[in-house]
Amino acid sequence: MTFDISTLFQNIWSMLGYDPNNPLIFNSGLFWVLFLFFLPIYGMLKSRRTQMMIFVVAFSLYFFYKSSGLYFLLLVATSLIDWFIAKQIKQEPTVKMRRFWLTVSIVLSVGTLGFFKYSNFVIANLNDLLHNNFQPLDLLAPLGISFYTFRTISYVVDVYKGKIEPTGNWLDYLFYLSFFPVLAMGPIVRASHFLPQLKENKKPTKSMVYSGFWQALLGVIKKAIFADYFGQYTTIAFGSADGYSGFELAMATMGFAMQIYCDFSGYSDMAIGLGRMMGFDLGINFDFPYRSLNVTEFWKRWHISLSSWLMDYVYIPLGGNRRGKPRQYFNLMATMLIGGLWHGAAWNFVVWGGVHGVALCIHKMTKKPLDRLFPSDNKLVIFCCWLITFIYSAFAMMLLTADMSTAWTVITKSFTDFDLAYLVPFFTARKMWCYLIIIIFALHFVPKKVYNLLSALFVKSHWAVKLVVFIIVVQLVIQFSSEEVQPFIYGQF
Amino acid sequence: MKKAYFVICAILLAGLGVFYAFSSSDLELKLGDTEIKKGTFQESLFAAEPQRRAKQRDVPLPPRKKSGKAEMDTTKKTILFIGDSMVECLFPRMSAYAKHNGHKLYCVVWYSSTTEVYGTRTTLKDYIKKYNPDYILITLGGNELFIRDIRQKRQKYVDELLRQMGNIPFVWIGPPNWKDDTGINDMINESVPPGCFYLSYTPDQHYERKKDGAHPKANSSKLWMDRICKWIMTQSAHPIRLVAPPAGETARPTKLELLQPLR
Repeated sequence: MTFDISTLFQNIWSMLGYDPNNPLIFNSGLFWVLFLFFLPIYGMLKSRRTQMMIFVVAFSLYFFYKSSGLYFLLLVATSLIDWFIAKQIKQEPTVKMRRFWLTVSIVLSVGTLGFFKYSNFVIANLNDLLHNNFQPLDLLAPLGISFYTFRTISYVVDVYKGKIEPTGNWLDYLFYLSFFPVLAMGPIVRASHFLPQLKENKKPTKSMVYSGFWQALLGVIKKAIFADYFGQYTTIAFGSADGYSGFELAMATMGFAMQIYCDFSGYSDMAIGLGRMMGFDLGINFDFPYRSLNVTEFWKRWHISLSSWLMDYVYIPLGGNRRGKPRQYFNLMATMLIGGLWHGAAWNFVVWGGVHGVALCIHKMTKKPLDRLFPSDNKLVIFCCWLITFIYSAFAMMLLTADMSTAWTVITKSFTDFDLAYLVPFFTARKMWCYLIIIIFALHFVPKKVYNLLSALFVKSHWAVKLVVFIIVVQLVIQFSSEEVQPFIYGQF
Repeated sequence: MKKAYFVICAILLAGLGVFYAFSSSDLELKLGDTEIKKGTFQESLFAAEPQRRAKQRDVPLPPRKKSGKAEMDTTKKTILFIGDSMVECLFPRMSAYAKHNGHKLYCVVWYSSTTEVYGTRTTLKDYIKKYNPDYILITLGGNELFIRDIRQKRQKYVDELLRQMGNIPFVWIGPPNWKDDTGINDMINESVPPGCFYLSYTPDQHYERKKDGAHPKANSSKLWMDRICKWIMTQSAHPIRLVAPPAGETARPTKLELLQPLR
């Protein structure tokens, strides 16, 4: 291979330029190379708050530009408008005017999200309904629009409710809204949690930097090794579900449940780790969801930042559980349907939300009688609760990737054509896949203190040990990875 | 903080250096039977390949010979037999053919693979580079029999595979359907030049299936391979010598590579 400098520059230029098909995702080599340049400059500027913020905002906007091009201006405009509105809300003396500004902000935010994300969904449904032929719009949803829209709504609502003060200057708010670790796929970190940290601008401790790096590496392992590996089988199986047996489809369903967990929690780990390296606590987003013994618990462990957002900004404003049981069930269903629609503009997402809503309602309805009937400390009862919750959530998760007819095929075949005789041939043909599934299951039940201990050991280890760990992780990624980096599932939402 | 950042940067830099050096060296490392793969660090920076690949979709397919009564090429061939798990059914008998006729046979079985799996990667091209075959047998499509809007979803991958094969003579062995497909056979047949596609799903072909209901049993696989070889010799666009070996003759391929599913 020749070392042609012009080719080198051409390749670097083409890698750095706007490319909607190649966003700057955290498990790509390009991101880490850029981060290598970013980190020392950030370290140097950290004590000079304004300069540091300008630098991070510029990097974040580039991060946005890389996948969404000039749509980064939309993010800038959103931040400017909502920063201005929040200030107006604070200054307005009358409730009426404050409510007016809040309405303007929410209409603009939801309207923009709706335009980019749901226009074609509405057009397609109108075409079906009216037998018309409206042409779909040529729209590309900007990176992370679902996530930053929810963050900006929570900021304005919190200012309206007097929970937080609006930021003194626009740069603070732009920094919060564009912060690149959470920009693309969350966590949906609240302004009330983030802005005080920005104001304080504490330097990260050595422990924060190394434990953040450790968590980011764990995220890379989850995403690039486990999720991508699981994903190739699920893609194939769900792609031609008619040709697979019930057993294979049930395995694919379980595989997808694990895939989406590893994919999204892996991304969250990377985001939270990077944030911690920069001195910001972004909270937690996943807490071993497949340990859950019921659906309510599942939602306290799965995508925590979204479920708590839906709880605080949809469920409780609708009345929560304060207006009687029927209204509570209605509120639950409405919240989960909105949550489903937030994930994507298609009916399978709505059904996904509905399926979870129904499960939550049933759990709320039956909790007391079932608790009386079955002792909660009985191991068999615990196991059955876990199994039912896992199977239910796994089949529900499948709706996030399969269209309705595929989902129906998968569900019917899984329950009517399930033959354990496939177990041995399946294991023989897909040994590595089975091993990885078993590992992920097992890791779910490792006590948290073991993870904390490992993190502490990494933090205290010699730099050479850290280097070896880093090299092993990257080599594992290369060893397991497809030749093209798989996009994150939640990036599509 | 600054010291910690320095350490992190040093780790990233050293790691990058190690992987760059490894990817640009000729060093082949193995851990037991597992080959230590190299990243594409050097290629990403210095190869003109990315630009070529980006433009590849606009490049017309290579011209091929028209079918007809082509003359049989009786020279000994280096055959690459690549595809999904159907290769596993066919290669034992094909190995006997190769031995009997003096050909070299390199087999690559990628379980659960599809035109998409191959078409979004350079695996086929890499194996062509590795074994330098002058004849290719490819069997793919068995995992895509029931995909809706097949042309919309898979045509580009079939075209990509044809590009990767370039001008090397090949035969695409169609999947042995167990029921009607949604168009994969028609699509491949119409995509390849005449005489390069063997249709395995015809009323006169009946294969007994294994328990999975899809793969032909060993005896049926033999019959299937026999029919393919006869067709290649007599009707394909690029006939080569594939005289049938005695029924009981067994042989091993020159090399067999098994790729795990989902990679």
